[in-house]
This record gives sequence, C-alpha cells and structure tokens, in this order.
Amino acid sequence: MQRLQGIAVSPGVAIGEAIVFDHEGFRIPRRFLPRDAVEAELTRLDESIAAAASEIDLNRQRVAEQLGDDYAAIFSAHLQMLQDRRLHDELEQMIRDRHYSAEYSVSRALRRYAKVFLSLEGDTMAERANDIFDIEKRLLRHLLGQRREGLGELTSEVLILAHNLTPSETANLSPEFVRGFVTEMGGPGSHTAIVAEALDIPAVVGTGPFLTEVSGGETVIIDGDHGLVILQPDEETLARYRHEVDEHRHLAAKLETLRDLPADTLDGHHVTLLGNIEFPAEAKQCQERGSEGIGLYRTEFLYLSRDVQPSEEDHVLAYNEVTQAMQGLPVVMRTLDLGADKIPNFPMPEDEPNPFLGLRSIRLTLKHLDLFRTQLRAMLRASTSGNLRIMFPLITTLIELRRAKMVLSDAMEDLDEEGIDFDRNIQVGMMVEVPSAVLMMDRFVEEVDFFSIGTNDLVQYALAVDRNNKDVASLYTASDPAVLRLIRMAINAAKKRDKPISMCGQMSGNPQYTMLLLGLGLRSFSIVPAAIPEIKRICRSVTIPQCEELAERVMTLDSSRDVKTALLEELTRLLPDQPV
Amino acid sequence: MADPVVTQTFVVSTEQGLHLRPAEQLAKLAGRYASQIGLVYQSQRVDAKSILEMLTLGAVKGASVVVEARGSDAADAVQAIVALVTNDFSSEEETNTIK
Repeated sequence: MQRLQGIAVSPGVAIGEAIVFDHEGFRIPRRFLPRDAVEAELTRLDESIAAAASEIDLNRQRVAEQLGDDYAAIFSAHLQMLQDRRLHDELEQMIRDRHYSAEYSVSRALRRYAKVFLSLEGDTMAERANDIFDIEKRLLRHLLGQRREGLGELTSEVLILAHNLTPSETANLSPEFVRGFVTEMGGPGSHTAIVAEALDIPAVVGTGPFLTEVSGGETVIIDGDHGLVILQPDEETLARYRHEVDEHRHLAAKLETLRDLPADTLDGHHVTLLGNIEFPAEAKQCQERGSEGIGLYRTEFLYLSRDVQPSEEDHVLAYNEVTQAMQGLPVVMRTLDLGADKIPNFPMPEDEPNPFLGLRSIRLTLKHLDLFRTQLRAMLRASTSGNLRIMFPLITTLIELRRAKMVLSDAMEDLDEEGIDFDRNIQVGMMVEVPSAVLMMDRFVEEVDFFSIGTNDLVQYALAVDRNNKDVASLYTASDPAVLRLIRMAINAAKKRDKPISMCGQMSGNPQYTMLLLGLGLRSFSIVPAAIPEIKRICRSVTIPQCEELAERVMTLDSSRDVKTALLEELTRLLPDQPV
Repeated sequence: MADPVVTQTFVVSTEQGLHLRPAEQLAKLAGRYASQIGLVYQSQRVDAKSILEMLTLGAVKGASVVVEARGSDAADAVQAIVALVTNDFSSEEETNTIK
C-alpha cells in the first residue's frame, strides 16, 4: 500500500479501477506477467510488429505511387526501425526476464531511444525522436487493440490518473464513466479541479511523480476530502473507505430531501443559491438541485473544446441552450476569461513570462476586439431567449470597465442597425477578483449593475501565490485574514449602494466558509451545482446573529490556520455529520 | 578457428550526417552479411545491422567512423559498406551488384 499526498480540489471518495495516461495521452500499464504468460506475450508482440509493419508498408506503397519513392523513404526507414533486431532482442529480454507486458516493454525501449536522440545535437534529431514516438504509438495501437481508449472512448467506470490533463482533454471526456481524477501536476483552480467539481467527482492534484508506481487496472482510492491517493490499498483501508462512501451516499440522500425547500436561515433571511457551470448541459443539473439561477456561466469551454475559434452562431447556440433551460431564471455569462497561452491557434504574446500578470481575460479581449465583439453580439442576441446578464472578468481599473462597456454599446448599435432584437436593459456586472478593484469599489458601484467576488483570483493576487506551484500552493488559502478583509470591504461597499453582490469562487461552495460569509453580509452564493444542497442545509441550520458573532470573532484572528480551526469547530458543533 | 577481424575507416560525407536514410541503407546492407558488423565512432560501438543504434551515434558530416566486421564474409561486408558510403549512398542498386 502506498499513500500519496496531493492537493484536495474536489471532495468525495472514489474507489475503482485506475487508468493511466502519460504525456501523450496513451495509457501504458506497467503490468507484470505471470510466468506462464511469457510465451503468449512474445507471440502478441510479434503479431503486433507484423501488423504494424504491413500497415507501414501499405503506407509506403500508397505514398510511393502518389508522390514518388523519395516521399515514401520515411516509411521504409520506419519499417527498418520497427524490424530492428536489436530492438527485438531488447523487447524479448524485457518480456522474458523481467516479465514486463509487451506494451510496457515497447514503450520503455522506444522511449529510451527517443531520449538519446533528443540529447544529440543536430537539426534532425528531434524529428528522429518523433519517428520513434510514431512507431511507439503504432505498436501500442495494435497491442492495446480494443483496449485502447481515449478519454472520450471510455466504456466502463474508471479513475483517471494522469501527468496533467489539458483543458481540451478534460472537455472531451465521457463524464458518465469518469469517477475521479488524480494528476501529478496542477493546483487548486487548475482545469482538472474545475471540471472535477463540475462533474461532482473527487479529485486530487499536484501529487508529484507517481505514475510509474501504478498500473492500469489496479484498484486505487481517491480521497478528495483529504487530498490523498492510495495505491494498492490493503483490505482494512478498503473497508474503511467503502464505509465512508456509504456514509457519503447516506448524506446525499438526506440532502436530496432539501431540494424543494428554500435556502432560508432559521430566522427567516433568504439566501440566493446560484449555480456555476461550464457546459450548457449542466444547466439542467442546476435546475435539479434547486438553484435560483446561474451565477457564473464560464464560456471558456467554447474556445477550448475545438481547434478553431467559435463563430457567433456557435456562441448563440450554446447561450440559448442555457437561457432556455433556466426558463427565465437569471443567467450570468462571463466573457472570455483565458490567457492567450490557453487558446488554441492563438498568437502567443511576446514577453509573457508571467501569464497570470499578463495578457489574459478582459485585457486579452480588449486587445482582440474582433473576438470580444463576436462574443458580446452573441450574448446580446441570446438575451431575448431568457434572463441573461453579462459579466466582465478581471477588471482592474475603471478605465478598463468603461472600455468594455463601450465595446458592448458598440455591439448594441450594430445589432440595432442590422435590425436584430436584443434586451436593451441587459444587466452588466463585473468580477471583483483583483485587489485594486476591491479598493476602488466605491467608484465601481456607480458604474455596474452587480458584482461577483471571484475568490480564486482574488486569493492569488492578494497573497501573491501561484496556486499551481506546489511548492507555494499551501500559502494559497481563502482563509487568510487579508483575503477576508478584502471580501468584507467588497461586500460592504456594494451594500452601501444596494448593488447586488454574489461570490462565485471555490470559497463560496466550501461549507466551511458559509457561516462566515453570511456573517459578513453575503446573501448570494454562486457554487457548483453539486454543492447546492450542502450549502442550503447550512443556511437552513443557522441564524444571522449567530453567523455575525462568528464573523466578528474570526476577523480578529491572526492567521489562516486560526481562522480555519475556528470555522471548523463552529461547523462541526452545528452539523456533526457534515464532512469537511 | 576465430574469424579474422576486418576494419576500415570512412568519413561521413552526407550533408546531414549518418541520418535516417543513410542509416537505413547501411543497416539493410549490413543485414545481408553473416558477419558481425560494428561501427565505432567517438569510442561508442554499435551494431551496423541496427538502424536505431546507428542513429544514436549522432555521426555528423565529416565524422570519422570505423567499420569492423568479424565473420566468414567480413571482408566483403566492409568493402560493400565503405563503397556505399563513398558513393554518398546515392544508389542502392550499385551496392547490390557488389554483393
């Protein structure tokens, strides 16, 4: 049994069969063979080499006919590599003496060559390494046969263990079969974390290297509550976690009964619970969990799940789906909130060693107005199909906000001229996620209709911590007194002018903070749909004076640790069965 | 009775060194001989019948490489390989006729 400590980014416990994705997205199980399977494995290896060889030869012939022998030469070299006797001896020795599976042997042997090529000087050496990867993939495809599975082609429930998952990989996965994530890289706020939360499955990120320790098909436990991953668990541990899974289920059933009840505190204050969503399909989930609208529709996945930038029609289709599903309930759509480095086929900005301080989000859209205009036009067009609101992310200065609003009114004028209908009184809001915006709240309140505090970025900018850097990630916490002060300032400034303010970061969906936030005056929470019942139960179990007393006490504390301890004590006292 | 070892030095003259196509041709040619054939470059010795190993030499243009063969047809093998290299790998048919 082996325990790995990572960062807990999405709660819950999952026990199940692991699949392992390496850098290339291929799963390469390090499987050991039983002694009597060695001969069969060697046959399997030879068959796959033969199959790959005839495939390459076919390619060679086809290309030779169409383009001439010179172009086909690369295939004849690949053929020569594939049938290399040294390689074959090495593979045979790995299978025979070390009892490695054919897949693992192929991958290991070929990658060793690729590594040597990459270390050599010369213009063509990187190409040689690519030749090797090409051959590796070809062979693995034959070896894995039916078992070859991309993230989108899963056929049974699995836990995904990966070095890192790109946004497009996570966007294309089959949610019905994925039961949990573990990634070696990443931190809170990484895309894996957001997707896991959206899918309501446990996830642990930033564990550091471990993929070589685990093979596909093994039973693995992901403890998303404590950021633990347990490889090769013993019987006792398995039993303990199975018990925990049962309890989770029990609590979920209990929460289910709250669905149609309002999120009112014991002393009758109403709390608005909204959903955060990534994909239009999640709007339904929000409805099912009893949300009063969508407080944050992240539109980024429109950009990430395809190679070309989405057209105005693509946007409109997605937006209409959401507004219609919500049947007149408010839907807050955030404009593109990505760095230039994350958008496929987008020019990389020069001098960008610090993407989080660089050209991202509203700064990017204000620089690439065509992109911004397309999205704003689509939002305006969709505004007739429901109750749509527009929100600008990462606003840092007043001028930025004014410029964004100017582009919006230009888009309105254009639509007017074209005779296209839209909601003229559409509400416009901004994210409060940069400390400068908090400090300038008294000015911003005059210029927007609503606010939403984005704690993920606010924490990172206030505390100067890269949440994806595991060496400093522990400094990244919403419970830091400085962050709490910023939040209090923002809430107070908005309240003073009666402007609605909500919170849509991960903090708002974390039950530990619910009482504190209520005590600070927050009455609207935008959270992952899955967390709605939990937060609702807390709201229904407290009184506002009780929360205010807690907030007052907590705001005098010196450190995030003291804050966390105080919040935890209060919550467990109130709801002993609440998992934290 | 041990087979004699035949060695000869050649200089890589192709523009990109002992890259993919030359290595392929050389490996193919070496594969036709029964002898053990090795290439030595910068104190690294590889099997001349293995394209993968040959590529790990990273022999660039101008590299001085020793070919050494041991076996019944060692002399023929070395002669054929050196001929292939000196002809700039230009024609495989030519090398076929050598055999």
